Amino acid sequence: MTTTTSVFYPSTAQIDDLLLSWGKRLLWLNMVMSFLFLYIPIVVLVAFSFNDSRLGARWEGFTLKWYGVMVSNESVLNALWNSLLVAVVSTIIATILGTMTALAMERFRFPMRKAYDGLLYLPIIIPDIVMGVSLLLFFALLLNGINTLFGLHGENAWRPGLGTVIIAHVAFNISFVTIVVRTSLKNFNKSLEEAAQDLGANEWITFRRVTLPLIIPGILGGALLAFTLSLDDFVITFFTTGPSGITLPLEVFGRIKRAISPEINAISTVMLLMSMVLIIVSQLVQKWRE
Amino acid sequence: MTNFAVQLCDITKTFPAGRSGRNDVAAVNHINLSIQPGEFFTLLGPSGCGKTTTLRLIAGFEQPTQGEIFIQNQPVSKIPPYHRPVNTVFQNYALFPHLTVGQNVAFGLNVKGVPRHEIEQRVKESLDLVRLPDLENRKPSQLSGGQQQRVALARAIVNRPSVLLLDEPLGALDLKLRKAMQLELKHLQTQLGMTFIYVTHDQEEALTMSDRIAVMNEGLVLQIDDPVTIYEKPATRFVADFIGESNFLNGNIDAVLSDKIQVNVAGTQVFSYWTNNGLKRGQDVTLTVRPEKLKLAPLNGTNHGTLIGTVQEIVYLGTDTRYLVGLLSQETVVIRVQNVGGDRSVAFAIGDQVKVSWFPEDIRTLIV
Repeated sequence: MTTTTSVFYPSTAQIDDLLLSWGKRLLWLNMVMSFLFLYIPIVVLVAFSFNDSRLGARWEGFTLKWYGVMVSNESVLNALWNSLLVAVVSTIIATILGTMTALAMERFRFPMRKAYDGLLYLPIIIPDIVMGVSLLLFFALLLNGINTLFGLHGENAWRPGLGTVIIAHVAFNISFVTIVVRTSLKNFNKSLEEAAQDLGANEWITFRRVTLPLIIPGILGGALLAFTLSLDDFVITFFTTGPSGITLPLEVFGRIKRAISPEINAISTVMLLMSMVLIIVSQLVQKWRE
Repeated sequence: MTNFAVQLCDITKTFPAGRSGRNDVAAVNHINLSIQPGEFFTLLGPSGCGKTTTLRLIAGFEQPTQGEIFIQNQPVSKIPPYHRPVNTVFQNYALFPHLTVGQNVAFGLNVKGVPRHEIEQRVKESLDLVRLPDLENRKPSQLSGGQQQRVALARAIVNRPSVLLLDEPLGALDLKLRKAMQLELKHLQTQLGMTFIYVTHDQEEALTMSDRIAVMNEGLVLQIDDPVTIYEKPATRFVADFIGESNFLNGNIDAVLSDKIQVNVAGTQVFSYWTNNGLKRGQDVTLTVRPEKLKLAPLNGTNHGTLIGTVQEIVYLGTDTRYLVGLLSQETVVIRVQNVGGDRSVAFAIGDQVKVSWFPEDIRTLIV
């Protein structure tokens, strides 16, 4: 009788199983870590906006007083109002111009179309800082020219402010709106417009009753994107505004330079909430589109 | 002046060749068409032959490079699509996805400002006409292909156009539905007395429905005739080949007689009754004959005036059997024999020596 010492050799299949189960666990870990990394700072920010401590480094109980301080602060409310005004006005203008540009780019063949196509993407690609500096220069020259031309001095002179900020925001938002609207035009079945014309609709009625209803989700998507980007923008606004046109991001930045107060946490939380509402609205628009 | 529904006079349409920098491409090349009121007129040809371009020229989606189009004897070159008295049934239906079936059908009447109660009545009528009642509130995406096709048809005919243009409207339907719709379309056309201009690449569809067919290829109209003439007397080799199946035999004229010509096909003397002015002795011609017009017989003493060959292939098709016979001249001919004798019908086997014959009036002479 012979005895065999049994040695355990795992088969290839068993090794595969082992790797697979560990791989799955690591993937889970990766996901959890990523979420933590992304959201812990935000959770801390929101939590500390309710912290009853002036320094904010230690939890000392729940309070809403920083929100009270925030809403009773004239300059914060003013900045919020400025931000919303800039976002609404620049979104409306950029959406109209961007949609028209998208229609022209998709429908017509004209000289230099390719070059224009490339130029449209430029504001998205070039760094904000470059755009900010160039707009600053542009407005300085423009306002200087206007003031000289009309002899405006001192109090009467035109200065950078909300007007220049709105123009700057329109300038970068047109590109985003155009790109979003163009994607919905690319999927647009052109024979629908021919069908409308065939049934007696002229160009305008065709646009109003067929083209517009079908691309409106794309236009709304572009508008929401523009609104968010405008509300969010710091760099370009910083370079193009004046003392009268302080938006919320600039206000927050200005306050941080002086001292970190829990009030900033409250303001940031409100901004976060606004962005989240916009995202939810855009998701609903997407749903409605389907 | 004769009253025509649609007339195309010397119409040419060229498209720019694009980047290649070569010559412009003529999609339609100097074509002339005169379509009678109430006619079912079909433009038939392979893809890229210019039939759809011709339809789009009539609808007004394209402008002719040269020539003039008349609709009800009015020149329409300067009239935009939305003012032309024609309506189109599009190949992909082009139903408005954001509107209901009822709104789709009512679109043309709404645009023209027809009173509301009249719109409702006419929408209902035309949906009944295409046998699609009770679906008014559905969206096009909730309908089957066949139903969408009917909605597209209803949306066009509700406007009571003088001419209805149909661009391969049955192309996306399955065979059985297509056959049913062919008959229905023909019935509808007779019922409404409307002029139909129908574009298709399906020769069977064209033969089934049309009063007259214009066969097109490479931007040219090759023949305009009724279905029987198109099939029985094709004017060119392309027409003979494109519509149905045809055999082609190359030969040389031996003699031009008063009522027929004698042609030498690979050493065999055959006759064609069809004479054409200007045919001369010694001229090369192509004879064309339909597979069902050829007769197959075993070899015997009297082989005069027939072609001798070997059976190479036999395909049993149910209603008939298709034989491929290789001739001594290396050419092959296809012969269809009706299976009237039940299972005794297939009387030949591969390798059998046979003779192929026909009535001289069934063969056509095409000038090479």
